[in-house]
Amino acid sequence: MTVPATVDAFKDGNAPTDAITAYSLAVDLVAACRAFVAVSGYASFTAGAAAAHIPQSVASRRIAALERHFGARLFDRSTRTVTLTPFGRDMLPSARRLVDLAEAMEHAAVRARLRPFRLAVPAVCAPRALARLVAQARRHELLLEAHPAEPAERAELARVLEVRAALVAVPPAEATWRVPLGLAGRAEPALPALYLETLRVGRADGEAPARRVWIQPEDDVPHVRDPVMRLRDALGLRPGQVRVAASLVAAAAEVLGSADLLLCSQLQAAELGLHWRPAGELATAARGYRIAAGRREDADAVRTLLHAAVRRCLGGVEEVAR
Amino acid sequence: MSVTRVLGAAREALDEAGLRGSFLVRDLDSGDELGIDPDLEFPVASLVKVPLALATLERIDRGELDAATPIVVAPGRATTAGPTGLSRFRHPATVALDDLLYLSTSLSDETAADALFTLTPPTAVAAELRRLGFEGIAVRHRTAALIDTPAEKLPPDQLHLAHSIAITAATAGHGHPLPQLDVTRANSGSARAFVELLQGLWRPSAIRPAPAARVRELMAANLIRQRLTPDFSSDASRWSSKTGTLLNLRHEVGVVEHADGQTFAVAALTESRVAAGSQPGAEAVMARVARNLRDQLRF
Repeated sequence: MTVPATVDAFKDGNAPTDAITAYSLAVDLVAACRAFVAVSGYASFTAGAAAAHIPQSVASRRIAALERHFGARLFDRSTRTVTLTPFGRDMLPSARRLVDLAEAMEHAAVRARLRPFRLAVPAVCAPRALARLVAQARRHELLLEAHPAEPAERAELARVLEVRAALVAVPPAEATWRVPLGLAGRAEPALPALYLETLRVGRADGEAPARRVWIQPEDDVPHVRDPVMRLRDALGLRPGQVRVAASLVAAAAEVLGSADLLLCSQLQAAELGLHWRPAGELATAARGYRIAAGRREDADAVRTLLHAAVRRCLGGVEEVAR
Repeated sequence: MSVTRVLGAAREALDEAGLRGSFLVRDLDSGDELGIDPDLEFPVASLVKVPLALATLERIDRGELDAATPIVVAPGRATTAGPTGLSRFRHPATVALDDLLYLSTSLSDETAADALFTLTPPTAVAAELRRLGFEGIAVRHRTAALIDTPAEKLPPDQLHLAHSIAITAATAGHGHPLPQLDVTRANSGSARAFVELLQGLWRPSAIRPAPAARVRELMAANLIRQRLTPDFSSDASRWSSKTGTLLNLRHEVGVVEHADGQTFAVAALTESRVAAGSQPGAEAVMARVARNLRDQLRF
């Protein structure tokens, strides 16, 4: 019995020579202690190995390695039943503690992986697309919690680390996701593009109400809003003809009840049942989004694992650069 | 519509067009008038050419100046949008004093006006106004300053920056870092001050008949007709006016004489908060507001 045990220990390749790393030893120590605790509990190599879900030969080999490592026998194999030696009895409590601790650690690791990942998302994201994003994240063991907010609030939440990551609005040129913007209205335009200049009030139009363009809070950021305002002035529209609405609902209500237009993505137009066209003078107008996170790994996780799901939430069409 | 509602609607229309304005319409015979902030003072830009013409013509009438005097005028060589007449000339020209008055008043030619100011400097024009009893119009500088603003210094595609400066840099009490827009340093006046002047020109006053008639004639020949003219001219009325434009300022003062004899003086002084050079929409709203005010008095 002594000889095979020794051979086994060498076959494992884990003989405690001075060149062996502490790491490989430690890993074996946990597995060996698990076998040790199981076999002592059942007073049988066969039953103990079965309880530990390992073949009996592996249990024997691990215990033998442990005995070789400690330089003393743990079990007395001379009797018919397996009994602990006095040394084995002294070692059992600490072996049990090590096994329990290892299990607690595994459990903690699983829980840590399931810590909620708060992600600030644009308030314009539709529930269905958001739910799909959360489900997709679950598959990667990210317990995503979507926190809808307006652009300025999202940037602030990410800055003060109240969320782990935020989809912040940035100029399209530096964005990971790009969402083209156009004009949407109740009536279907006959032409493939809608020129803002066509909203200009003519001298002979009298006091008829001027058609307006509504900007939703999501687009109340300088790189989207200011070019539209500048264009309004350059085209000779009235200052009141381009307005920032208090909410998307308020803007949509104005558009549904008049000939006004909403600056929005094609996806939003479809959700609101409006006809969407690119703006003739602003064909390249777009929202841009990038991930802002306190930790680089968090940003990378969203950017890589959830790239397509985020794009669907935003209504983006094409990828620029990761 | 009640007067209150007309005024309310007019204020709303001006705001919607990005304008802040001083308006006054007066029936020159009954004295009935209607206005919006008529005492608000504005830099008057080219409107100063009316007092300038009046002062020059009074001096001609007194024999201090000769209308036929040939004057050699250096060319203005302006290429930016806006300047007219001698201001765009590329070669020196010899023009009679009387014709300089026409160029200055009817074409709003800065170079012609500047030549007139050489003969009758701003202080002399101001003294002439005081002598004739017209308070409220300050004449402090010549007209060359009107074509020396950020709008002339920036390339055309950055014109909106000049307008942004004009709109946003104003200080309390209608002051401004650009002297042309500072009512305490620029030539300035209110709608009421100009209506008083028009009343003096169209109805008997301290102004001698000959200079008054000539100013009326020059204003009737005004070539700049895109602002209030479309809403006031017809075959059944005569519209005589002078415009003033500088950066975000758009003014026009004039008189409409109807075939039935009713005559109204109209003064519309505005400043825009829209950073754009060309604003036909704003001009149309100015005209509509002035017309609506006039319509309230036409009975």
